[in-house]
Amino acid sequence: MSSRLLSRIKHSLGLNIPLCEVQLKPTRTPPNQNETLLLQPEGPFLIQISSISEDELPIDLDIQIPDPFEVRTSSLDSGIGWDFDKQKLSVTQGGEDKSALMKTRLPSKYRGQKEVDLFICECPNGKRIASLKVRCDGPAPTNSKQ
Amino acid sequence: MPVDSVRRIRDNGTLELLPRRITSKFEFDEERSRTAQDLLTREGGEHPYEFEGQEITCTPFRFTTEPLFGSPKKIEGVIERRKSSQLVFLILDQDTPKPDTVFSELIDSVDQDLSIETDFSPTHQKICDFIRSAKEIIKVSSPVAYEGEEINRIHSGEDLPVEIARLKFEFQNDSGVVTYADGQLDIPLPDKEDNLIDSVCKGVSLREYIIQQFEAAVVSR
Repeated sequence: MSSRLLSRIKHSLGLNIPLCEVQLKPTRTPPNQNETLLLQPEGPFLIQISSISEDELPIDLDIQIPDPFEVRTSSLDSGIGWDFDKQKLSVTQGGEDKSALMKTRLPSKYRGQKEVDLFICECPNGKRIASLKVRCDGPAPTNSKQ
Repeated sequence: MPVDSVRRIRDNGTLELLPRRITSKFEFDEERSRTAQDLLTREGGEHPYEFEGQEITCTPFRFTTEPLFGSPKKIEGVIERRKSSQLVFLILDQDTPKPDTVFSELIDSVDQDLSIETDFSPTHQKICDFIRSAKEIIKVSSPVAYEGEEINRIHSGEDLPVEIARLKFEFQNDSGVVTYADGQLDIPLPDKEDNLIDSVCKGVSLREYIIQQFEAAVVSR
């Protein structure tokens, strides 16, 4: 049995570690807020993917965030593909660590105070392998009577 | 300063993107066309411009915002479509609303499929190739900590994830500082003797030279 097939079987049985390691890093938030991505009105973040085994390729990663938030990309390492319509990253090359510079945005017509979770999940099993809090503070309050 | 934002037309997409009618938010004026001249070899570049002779179409428009708070605001812009490289530039005369908002509103406001990719996602390598094409790299900001060595690393051929780059370009006797961030280029246009469409449509200009460098780095093989 090939190592790839064995790995897939173990993985599907929940016996294996994730297909790769993923770290999420907000890039323009204060140092003490590094667990939360603030939208102003966009929130850029970096996805770092490591421990990629050639045996596991291609690896598809779903980015899950509630509507009407959406995720876009700014630039990617070669060996990573991005499907905006499916909100999915595909890692097609192994070896070195990979990164993708992404951003979350909330269309202006939905602006308001909101806090949601963004998850990175392996496909097709849906296993969550990384997460990030996303917070939108909404428009500044208008002048009100004291 | 006017802001350029770039998208790409989908494979096999059409360049007939815009409705020839007035919508509730968009008002389009008559478009202008020209063909691209090679400015890269004219400026001493080693490689000829791959898209010489491509058709470039510029459509001026006015867009009315519908903010949740405050009064509607009218902004002016130009959509520039470059046939062979399949790049679409949105040039706005101010930096709000965000280009993503204008693109989304444009897609929502017309019946036909606009064929514009919702997302523009070049590789780190292509962005760094564009950065290396500048006369001077003034500043590079990366989300990965390189301890102030970002510019040296890019000069030495390394390809980094880049959030923001400030670059100086020179063309003939003109020079300007361009900011690249998130697929958006802030390119200086000549001050106000021209209107926006006249500035954008010039075939020989600093802006056109910078766009050709961008196409050469990001689109060419």
